[in-house]
Amino acid sequence: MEAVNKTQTKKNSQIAEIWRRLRKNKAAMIGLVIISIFAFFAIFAENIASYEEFAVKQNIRERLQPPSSEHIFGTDGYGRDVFARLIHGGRISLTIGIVSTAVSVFFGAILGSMAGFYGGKIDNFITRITDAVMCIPAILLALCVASALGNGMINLMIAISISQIPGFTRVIRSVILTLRDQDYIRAARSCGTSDARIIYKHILPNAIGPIIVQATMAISDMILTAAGLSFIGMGIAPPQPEWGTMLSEAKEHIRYAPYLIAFPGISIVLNALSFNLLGDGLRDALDPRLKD
Amino acid sequence: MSNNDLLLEIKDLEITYRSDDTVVQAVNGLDLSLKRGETLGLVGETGAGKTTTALSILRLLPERTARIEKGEILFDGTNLLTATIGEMRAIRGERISMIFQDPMTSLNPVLTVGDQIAEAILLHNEGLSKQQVQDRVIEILGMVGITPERRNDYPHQFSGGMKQRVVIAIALSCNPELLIADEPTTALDVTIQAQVLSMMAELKNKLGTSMILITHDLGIVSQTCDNVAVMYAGEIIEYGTVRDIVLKDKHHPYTDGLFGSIPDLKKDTDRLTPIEGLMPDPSNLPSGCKFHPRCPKCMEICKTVQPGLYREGNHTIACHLYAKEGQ
Amino acid sequence: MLKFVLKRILLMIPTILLVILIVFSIMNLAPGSPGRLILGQTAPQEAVDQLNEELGYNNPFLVRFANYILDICKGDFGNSYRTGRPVFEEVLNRLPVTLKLSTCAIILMVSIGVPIGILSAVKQYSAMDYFFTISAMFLAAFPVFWFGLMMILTFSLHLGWLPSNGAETWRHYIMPIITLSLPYLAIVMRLTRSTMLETIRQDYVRTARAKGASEKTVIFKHALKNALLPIITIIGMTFGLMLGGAVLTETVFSLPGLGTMIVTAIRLKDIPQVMAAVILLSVMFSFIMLIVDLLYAAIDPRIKAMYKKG
Repeated sequence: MEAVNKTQTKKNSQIAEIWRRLRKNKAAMIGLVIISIFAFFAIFAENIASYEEFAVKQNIRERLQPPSSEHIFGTDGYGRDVFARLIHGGRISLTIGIVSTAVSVFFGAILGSMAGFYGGKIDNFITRITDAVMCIPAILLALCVASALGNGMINLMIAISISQIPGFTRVIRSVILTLRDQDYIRAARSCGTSDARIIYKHILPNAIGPIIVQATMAISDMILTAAGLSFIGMGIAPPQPEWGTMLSEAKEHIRYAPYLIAFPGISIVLNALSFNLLGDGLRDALDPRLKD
Repeated sequence: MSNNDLLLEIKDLEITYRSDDTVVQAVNGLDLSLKRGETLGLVGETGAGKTTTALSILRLLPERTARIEKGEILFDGTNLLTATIGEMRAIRGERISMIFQDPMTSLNPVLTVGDQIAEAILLHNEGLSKQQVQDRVIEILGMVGITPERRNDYPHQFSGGMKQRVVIAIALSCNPELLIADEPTTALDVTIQAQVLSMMAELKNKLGTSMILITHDLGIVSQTCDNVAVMYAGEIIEYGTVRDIVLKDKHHPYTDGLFGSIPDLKKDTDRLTPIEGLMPDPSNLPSGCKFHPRCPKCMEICKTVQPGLYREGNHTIACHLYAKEGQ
Repeated sequence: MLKFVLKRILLMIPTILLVILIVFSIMNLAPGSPGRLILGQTAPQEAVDQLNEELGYNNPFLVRFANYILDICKGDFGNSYRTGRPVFEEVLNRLPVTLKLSTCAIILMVSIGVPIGILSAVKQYSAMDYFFTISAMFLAAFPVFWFGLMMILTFSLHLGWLPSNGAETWRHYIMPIITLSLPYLAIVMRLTRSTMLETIRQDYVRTARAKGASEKTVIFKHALKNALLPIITIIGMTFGLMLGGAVLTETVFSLPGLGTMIVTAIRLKDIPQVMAAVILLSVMFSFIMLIVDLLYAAIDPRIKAMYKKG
């Protein structure tokens, strides 16, 4: 009983140590703060500005108004309040980013574990397919899948997840390959520990670090790719206020309402940047040797 | 004249490493000296500060984190700590050479072995023709027992022991006055160790090179060194000739511990006697004598007062046990 | 050595076949049969069925795939659903624009990103390093299409210096090239920097210093030569990302390249067109990675030795 408690406290203090190191990284903290702000607005979007009333309902009389006290970020070509659209768009972007990443990590972990752990023909097969998929530039792959499936949030998420699965498969496979040959794994095996238990107790805890770092960076990529696909019309369709879609609509009014381009773009940049900063910080916090 | 005789003199050297919020005291008031032609063994466990001391002689410490707080390193009269970087570069490789512990990573993988030796030669002998340089490269390879054709091979084509020979060849290529060898054989097999050490001894005698041999292996020390300095927590706690250290019976308790933890072929022992405890945390060193928490002969005074030096001829011991007996 | 090159090229073929299979399978999921897509929504069902039969649509998946591969070997990527003309023709028409855009963007990316990365690494912790690192982080987060729009806003609309669409003169390419290269330049710079930092920390760099070598020699002759290999890989991989970004850039600036072709083709459900373009771009990327591999073998003596044996 005491041994179990000891390992639990050790794990807790490890996490505390990682958090302490992360806190010291100012850039990562800024990223975390920005993400929290966006998350806050995303979660409470409906309370702050009702979707139906502000984000979607057209109000032609008030169209293309520059930022004012009534509409802090102005109104778009259909008279809709830009700020309301932005925060609802934030909901969409964050959902897409997080859910797609989770799905990619899940499938990538399964494939990567199988390839790394069992080796041989299974590894060969999975690696060949992964290599082939990685030959196709990610955006093009997502574009193909999105075009085959059609518009809509779920299809977009499927498309983006698929384009990121090979990356995770590779990372997890290489982590497992490194760990598999460690002596303590051999020791566990020689004691008769089952494969599943080895993966769960020994390999996964060590793999979590790189996975988390990769996942954080992936969220940033996914947000950018989702915006890109929506921009060219292959992702989220109007009237939904995805940031990329908003930019595509704003293109028409670029001459007279440039602010329409600024705000969604800045939102995308801030989000992508924050996740990148956080990911960098996590990488340094998880393995401080890499820093100096 | 004693001035000519003394090649290297380190006086009161203090080095710290600083990172974020911790200060690590790596070297604390170190005094050491080396005569021409002498081989000095610098002994101690990992973390004692031996490598830091060695790197500081050539001023190769990491710039951002390491700070030389005070002290002097006199090489043939010149204080190396105040020399310009240009002067240091002229000294490195030519008057003082250093070889490091891991031969596997000490050589540049994308340059041929011959190129790397030639580089050392050309850095300090600019006027030589290509042919002269090649001749010298072949000559040096011959000295370390490597055939001339191999100079066009890459490091990965050599075994560990041969790589270390190449490293030694590079170090001796300009006939330095002082060779600092930091655990040169630790990463090698025992049989190769013996080969490399005997080769080093031979070369040393032939070329008249003085040597500082850093090691934690007391066996090597007793075979190759003239004098021995025992280092603990950044200080020299005992110094003497090899006879003093290996044969005499008055020692610092740490030295006793070091010898005591070696298995003796002749004695029948059930258990080894290791030294209790661990090396102190260099960012949080004990007060008084730094060995006192682990010392089986610790007295009250040891906890608060730094021990002075007890001398018997050339043999010095920094311990309260002896310092009170007679100075 | 030639044997090695041929061997690697041969090894690429199954991978390319797999790529084509993957693209083929994905596009196969798209709703609507070719007959319907070609003749339109209003055409009578019998005409659609007949056309489908002619095109071999009713054959099993593997047969269709095999036929597709065989056709490709003859240079036939099928005919456009929209125009009826060979798809490959249009692809070749559009290729030069995309090539010009990507090649110039890569040159810009490498010639600025790599040196700055090296400089940053060598002068780590300096003000310059911080400036470049932070700028790179920002640039890498910029969506390529947004940056393009901002550029149009500033340089076309506000200042009137540069044209905002089309590809007639070299001036039309200036903004697209800068837009496309910047985010990837940032990525290359950061990765180059971290590779250099890691290399500088290696033991053999310390050996070089201990020999008395100057900092310049240490950085260029010892560190850089070793760092060059991972840097080349980074450049190769970033090229792949850039091909994707080219699609967005072409769209923003209305450049008549492969990117805009793909987007239009998707919108019009012209599947053979999409497939041909995506396959071509993927093959281009594979070739770049092949060249990276070959360069590796040429530069790194350890790898060269491995392949001399086999």
